[in-house]
Amino acid sequence: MSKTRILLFILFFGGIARAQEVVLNNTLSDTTQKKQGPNLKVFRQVWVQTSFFTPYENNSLQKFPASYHVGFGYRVKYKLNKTFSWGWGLSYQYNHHRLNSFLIFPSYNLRNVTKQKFLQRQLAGELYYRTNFGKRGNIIGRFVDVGIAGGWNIGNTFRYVLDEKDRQGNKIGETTINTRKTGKTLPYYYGLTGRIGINRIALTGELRLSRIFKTSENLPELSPLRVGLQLAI
Amino acid sequence: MRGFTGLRVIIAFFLLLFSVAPLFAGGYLVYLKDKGRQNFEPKNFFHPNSLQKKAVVGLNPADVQEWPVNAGYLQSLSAYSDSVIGESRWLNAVLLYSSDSSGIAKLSFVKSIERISGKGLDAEPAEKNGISADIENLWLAKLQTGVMEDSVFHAKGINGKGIRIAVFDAGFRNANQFEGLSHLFRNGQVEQSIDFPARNKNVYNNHFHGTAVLTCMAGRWGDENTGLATGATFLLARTEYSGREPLREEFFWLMGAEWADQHGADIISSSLGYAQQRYFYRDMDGKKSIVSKAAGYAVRHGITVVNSAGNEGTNNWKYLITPADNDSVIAVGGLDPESGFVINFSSLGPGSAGQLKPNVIAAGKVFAGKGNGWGVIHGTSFSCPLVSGFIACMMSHDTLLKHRPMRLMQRLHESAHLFPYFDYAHGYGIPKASRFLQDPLPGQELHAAPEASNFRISIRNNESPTGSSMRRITTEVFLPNLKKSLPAGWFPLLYLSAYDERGRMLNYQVCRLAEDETGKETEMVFKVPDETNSIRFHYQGTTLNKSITAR
Repeated sequence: MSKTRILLFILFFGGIARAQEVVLNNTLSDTTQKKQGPNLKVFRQVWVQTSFFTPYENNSLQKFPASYHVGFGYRVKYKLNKTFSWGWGLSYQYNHHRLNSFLIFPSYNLRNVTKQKFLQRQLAGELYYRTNFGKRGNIIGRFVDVGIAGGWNIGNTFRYVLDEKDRQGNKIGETTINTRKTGKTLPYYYGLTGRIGINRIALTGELRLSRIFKTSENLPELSPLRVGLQLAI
Repeated sequence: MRGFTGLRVIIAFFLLLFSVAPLFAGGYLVYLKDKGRQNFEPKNFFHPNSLQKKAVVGLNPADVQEWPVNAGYLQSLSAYSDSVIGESRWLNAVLLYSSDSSGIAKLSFVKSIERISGKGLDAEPAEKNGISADIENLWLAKLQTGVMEDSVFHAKGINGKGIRIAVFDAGFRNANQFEGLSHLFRNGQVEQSIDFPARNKNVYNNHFHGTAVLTCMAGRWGDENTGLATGATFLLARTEYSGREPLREEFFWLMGAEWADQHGADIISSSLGYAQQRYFYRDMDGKKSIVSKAAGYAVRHGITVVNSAGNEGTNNWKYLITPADNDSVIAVGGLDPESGFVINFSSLGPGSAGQLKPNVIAAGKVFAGKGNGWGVIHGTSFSCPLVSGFIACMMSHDTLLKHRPMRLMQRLHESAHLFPYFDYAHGYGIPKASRFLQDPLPGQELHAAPEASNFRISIRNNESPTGSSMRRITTEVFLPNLKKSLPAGWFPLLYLSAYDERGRMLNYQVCRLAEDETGKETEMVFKVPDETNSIRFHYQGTTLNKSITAR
């Protein structure tokens, strides 16, 4: 056995023989006031949400509530006083517009179309102002948020699902066609946001004020209003 | 057209947002200028024990503060309110919900009106987990009372007889039918009950939490007592919704304290508490919350208030809950009966104003009844009644303590197994009957075992590595082997706390010692904060102070 091994052996077993097991060790500097927390100076949270597009104009264009939205994001809140806060957030959004059976966009001459969808992925930012209600401790409590949001449409897809039929007209399968980068959509969007919440759960709504499609395309607009539920983690 | 419709939708959306805002409107605490004219006769209002207590503490029972809130004022207020939740004679205030607060403010007898909160927040009894039935029950039932040396009290026939304990909880489901508490009801030891939320006297519905608490004070499982105060008299009050309204619950706690005072309670045992739903840690100064103020009033009226420290040790809150933060309240932390030191979820001290909390600890994992059977249950909720039972025994042995809460608190501290050592997890430790009585039975130990006095420690080296905020202390320790005097499964523990030059505690630690580290000279190394000026060590009943040369 080399000297090094002997030394390691002594250090290892010698250490065990002498070492007491510390089962509790608290340092009181932990009691210093924190600045970050649900009702402290700064609060950060991650959230997920799902919501449904609601009938608006051109209701016959879309299927409700099959048109939905899912998203997740990150939010920061800065406390101004007991009642008011402001904050900003970043999020990823996915809008799924389920369309009715007649062809809308783009005007391909397709037959046997059974489903049409317009799918949109967005990266968004938000500025919001929060009003809290009631006395509370270091919890989020009850609140109403109003804000403005905007972002980039990073992906736009027209999706068609067609039945494949044999010569007798019997269905033998399905084909999905995805059309991207059509140049028909605006690259950005903006709108208003609102939330009513208690602690980590919020009823959320967003109203898009911008158009989806370029004016020059002369395409009908889809529902700009969605309401849903947001869960903060 | 689209713009017009869009505008309508926007307006509707924001109208919706703001139309729900009034739903969040809260209640009002209405303070009254006076109590009007009343024919108040203390002898008809207070229990004789309460009158005796007031005489001892020097309070005039006919003082206007003791009068009930004026009935005529209450009637006038009810005309302006949606619902009157309750009234407090100590605060001379009424809690109510109203949609006409300006009308109330104009009433001639109203001093001030304070909007305090809304509905929907949350508070829970300080119970950790659910009940899990079974096994090791006998071991646990014996240990939860045995660590406080119940046999020493019982050998002297001390069981809390003559002491009146008010128990505040979320309900006492089936307590009146539960065989583990049948002796109390058979002997008429449950003298009063009140359900503040339901405004009746039936407390035997709702939550089982209070039933489990009661069994930890005075329950019987076969031949085994699961609490120490089997001879005491009980006043049961439901002050808590098992649901979600801490504002009302705090006010009910205040009303409960006044009710306990009226009915001559010697002890208020409360396994309830409020933390981050309504407060910040900085509010845990013993003065901010309604319940903390109420507890302070109760102590001033000669009532000893015992409260769970809370189960926040492992969550973000971490520290004690209110009213355990009041420095006149005995805050009880939880002991892990399997290891002999603090149970992990037990809330820690200090209070935000530096209060030394918790005061003592008792088993935080107990064998208790829940009204339809027995089982193992966790929480400082159950440490609290164990200590309340111990205090009832103290009072029935030394009746002068009945009316002197602060003197009793001091005696309780001195009776605890770590005293004079203190840390913010264990307080002064587990109360011991032999220490209180100073008269142990043969074979029982008083203070430390004689061999423990051989405990010695010398500091051999003291270094602060460059760049480190910790100081490395090398010691030579002789720890007598006292394992044989410990409950099965427990290891000898070495406690140490580090203090700065101003005497403020910086750090505290507990070290579990292996068998081969006791009974001989051992080298031990401790890491403490660099500002450490002295270290206090405690081992098996002996406390030693060592100074450290500052760098």
